[in-house]
Amino acid sequence: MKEKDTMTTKPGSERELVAALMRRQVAWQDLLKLMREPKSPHRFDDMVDALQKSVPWKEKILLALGENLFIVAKGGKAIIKTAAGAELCAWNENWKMKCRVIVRRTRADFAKIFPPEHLTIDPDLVEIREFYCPKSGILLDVDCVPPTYPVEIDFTPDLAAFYRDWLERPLPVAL
Amino acid sequence: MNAPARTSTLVEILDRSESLFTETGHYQGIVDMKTHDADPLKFEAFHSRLLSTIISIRETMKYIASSPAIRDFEEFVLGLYTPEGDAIALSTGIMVHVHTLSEFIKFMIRNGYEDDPKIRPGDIFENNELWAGGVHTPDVMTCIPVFRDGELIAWIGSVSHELEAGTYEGPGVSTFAPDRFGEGLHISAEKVGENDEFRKDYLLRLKMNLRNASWWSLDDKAKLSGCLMVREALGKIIDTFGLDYYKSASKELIEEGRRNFVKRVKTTMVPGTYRGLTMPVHKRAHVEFVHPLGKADYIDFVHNEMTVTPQGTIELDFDGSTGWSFHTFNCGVGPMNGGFWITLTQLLNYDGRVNDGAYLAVRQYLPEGSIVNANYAGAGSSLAWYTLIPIFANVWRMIGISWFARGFIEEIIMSAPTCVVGVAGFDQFGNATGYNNFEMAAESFGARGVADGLDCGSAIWNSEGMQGDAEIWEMTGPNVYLSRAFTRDHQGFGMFRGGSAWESLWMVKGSKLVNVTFGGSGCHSGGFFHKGLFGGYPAPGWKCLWARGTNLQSLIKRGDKAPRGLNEAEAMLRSGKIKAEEWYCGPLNQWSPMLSECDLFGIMYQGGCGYGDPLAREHERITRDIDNGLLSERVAKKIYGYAKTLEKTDATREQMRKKRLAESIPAEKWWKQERKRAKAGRVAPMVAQMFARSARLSDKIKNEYLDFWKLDEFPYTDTGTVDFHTAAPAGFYHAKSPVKPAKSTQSSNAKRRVAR
Repeated sequence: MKEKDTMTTKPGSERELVAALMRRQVAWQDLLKLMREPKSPHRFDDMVDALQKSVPWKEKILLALGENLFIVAKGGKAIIKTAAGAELCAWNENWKMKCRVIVRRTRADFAKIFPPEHLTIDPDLVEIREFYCPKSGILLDVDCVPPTYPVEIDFTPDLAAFYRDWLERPLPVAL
Repeated sequence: MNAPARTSTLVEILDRSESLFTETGHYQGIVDMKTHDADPLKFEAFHSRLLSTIISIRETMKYIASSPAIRDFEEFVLGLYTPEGDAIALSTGIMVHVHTLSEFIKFMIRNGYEDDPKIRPGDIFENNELWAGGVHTPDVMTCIPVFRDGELIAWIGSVSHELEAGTYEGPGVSTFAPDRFGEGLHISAEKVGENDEFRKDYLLRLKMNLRNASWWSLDDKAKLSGCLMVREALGKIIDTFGLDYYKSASKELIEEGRRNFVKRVKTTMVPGTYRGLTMPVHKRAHVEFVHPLGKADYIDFVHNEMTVTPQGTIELDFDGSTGWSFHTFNCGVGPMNGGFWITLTQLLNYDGRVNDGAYLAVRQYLPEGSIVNANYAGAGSSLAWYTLIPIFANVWRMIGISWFARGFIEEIIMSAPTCVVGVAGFDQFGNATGYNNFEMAAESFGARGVADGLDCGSAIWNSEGMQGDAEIWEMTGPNVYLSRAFTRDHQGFGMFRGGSAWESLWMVKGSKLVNVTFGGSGCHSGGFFHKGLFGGYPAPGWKCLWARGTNLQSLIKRGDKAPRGLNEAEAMLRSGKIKAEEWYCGPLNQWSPMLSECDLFGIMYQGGCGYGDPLAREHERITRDIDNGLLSERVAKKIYGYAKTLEKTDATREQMRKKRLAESIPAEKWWKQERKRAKAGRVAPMVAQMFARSARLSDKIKNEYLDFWKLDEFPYTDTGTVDFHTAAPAGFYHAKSPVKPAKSTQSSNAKRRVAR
């Protein structure tokens, strides 16, 4: 199905455009232009600026780990915080273990999220783990794993190299 | 024609190229781009001539080819290579084979083909051999050397996917041969022609070993014609630019490709380690007629760590994966390199400079003996794609995490499983037949970072893939379409949903001897494809249907309703509206008995995963899906909290989030409860065996398990299979995977990542 234009006003600056992009309010034709153009070296800062304005707290965002999950600077340290404000753990720890979780392991459990007439995933072999922000109930991640598989996090950034070597600026926290 | 005079052998040229890269980190040791810098516009014009030549010739090739796969469904590619086998420029199409062709050329060089069987002007070489860079028997490579004044200055190669490959059961891919000996016709890096013509003995071999040799042989002629046209055009390009310019500029193009790749990684990604797993399930112990070697149930577990290094290179490490098995889903170095290549070309190396330069900036660690690097000479790989597709689709997902972190959300895209139907037996003309229906090349995408997954998109392995005209497939085999339609309520749910599932239903027409085989990559036999992103769900699975001895003919004669889709056919079979002597609908019995006139078969192609919390889905997107028949109000309410108006939907969602908090428990509390089960290993036998099979090859997952659950003893020891080891083939060169260095390249002081 064709994507529909949802943006009504055209942003003036690159920063405004990125803010609109993070709100998913960029017209499809402008999105295509963004995809085709050379990637802006300012995108990271513009994106962080847009995200920073969208959250109800003040800690500086160092890196976004997901739609509602961030590494932020707090008290000279890097911690993982949700968009709603739940502070989960240190930046490199297993944040999923600080969430609330619903684990689905039977066909009846699966049928709560999948239409039963279409469901062919075998619950004996696959377990679905839903990790929720403990403050807001927002779904942060859904893991599909064999039962008893350890809870893994999907991404451990090399924060030091990213800031020092790629962004060429000091990392404002001690790791 | 005379044998070429040369000062260096191809082996020496290849050795020198590899040493220069090892010593300098630059392709051919090129530090200064002298040819480029001297005249950038001339350099650009040179590249454009090469690229436009190859792309336009590929279009011409379609009109020479025979099989619908090439003529109608874009299943081929054409490329230009350096003397040592590195890709310089290539066409659109099945990009996976750009690097597999490279491996094929290097295989010939390393195995001394210059001396025997000799590489001479006019020679034609062909390959579909796993150990020589091939992926599986239907992917057939045709390659010619290009000489100028007696010197080999280039290779031109083309690859097509053949619909029929002489497999035991019929279609181009074999789903249940236990090893390579049921996979059909192997062409193991052979010289098959001289003086620009295929040899008669080779064409006879095709005729006698394939059910439908005209597809393969006429596709061969299309590929050869394409190669010869490029050779002719290349001569003119060299006449214009000069041979010395061609040699230096083609090398600089590759070095430029490498530099651009590193630059793009550093511009759009974030260094660090990304993780994911896939676990294709193959159940066949219940199948009476399967070969005893392969009569077992497996989970082919693949653990994938992707490291983006501070230097801007990418490494994939598959430590922890289970071993190869007696089935056709094994991968080797060639298939894995091909799979990685399609990821690079579609996601990170998508500008005009697609060449082997990007490949110099990536590395894969493939544990020997594992499912991603089978080391048995007879390992089956006819359906290596069933392992490759989820693996590299998962890499797409991991790259999406990186793009999100860097802010380039417009680039995030997830792929989809490939489900396939194969038809075999005798066709409507009374001839033996076998083919895979390539409408599967249009499976629906996973969600993107800014949009829903495309409904009816393209397969991960061919960005030009399409469904094609139903009429073409009705002419190809003894079947007519009863329907081809989207499946309501079947999508990877999320803020952006995966592309909708769709289904096809056929009736046998014009044959009394037909059987069908089905499969789904990653989602086969009750598995799942891969997880979604940031709260998106996977799709709920695929299924197939077959019904033998139906009363459909009498239904049609009476003017009664025929089924308009797979689900409707299933419901009619269940209710008795359609009577059948024998039928099945589901993910397990993928092999039909012999079907006949007016019997039924069908398949549901599932789409990719969702992105983001479904409760964040835009109200308007939900109503559009309902209006388009892709979503029922019942499911919209259940999954998305949809309540017709925006205000009511917001209120419903608030209640749903509260309900989530009430029904969930703290993960640490869950850990305490679950630890008892983890300690006892109380899981299904297939899962227990999967863990034990992983531990047989590596301590990685075992140690993570013990660490995470704080246990001293790993509860899984029974692999469920004979502890069988065998050596990799010997007596000839074949590509090997590098072994991961002991020290990680990660510079962070990250704690053990599974530590609680």
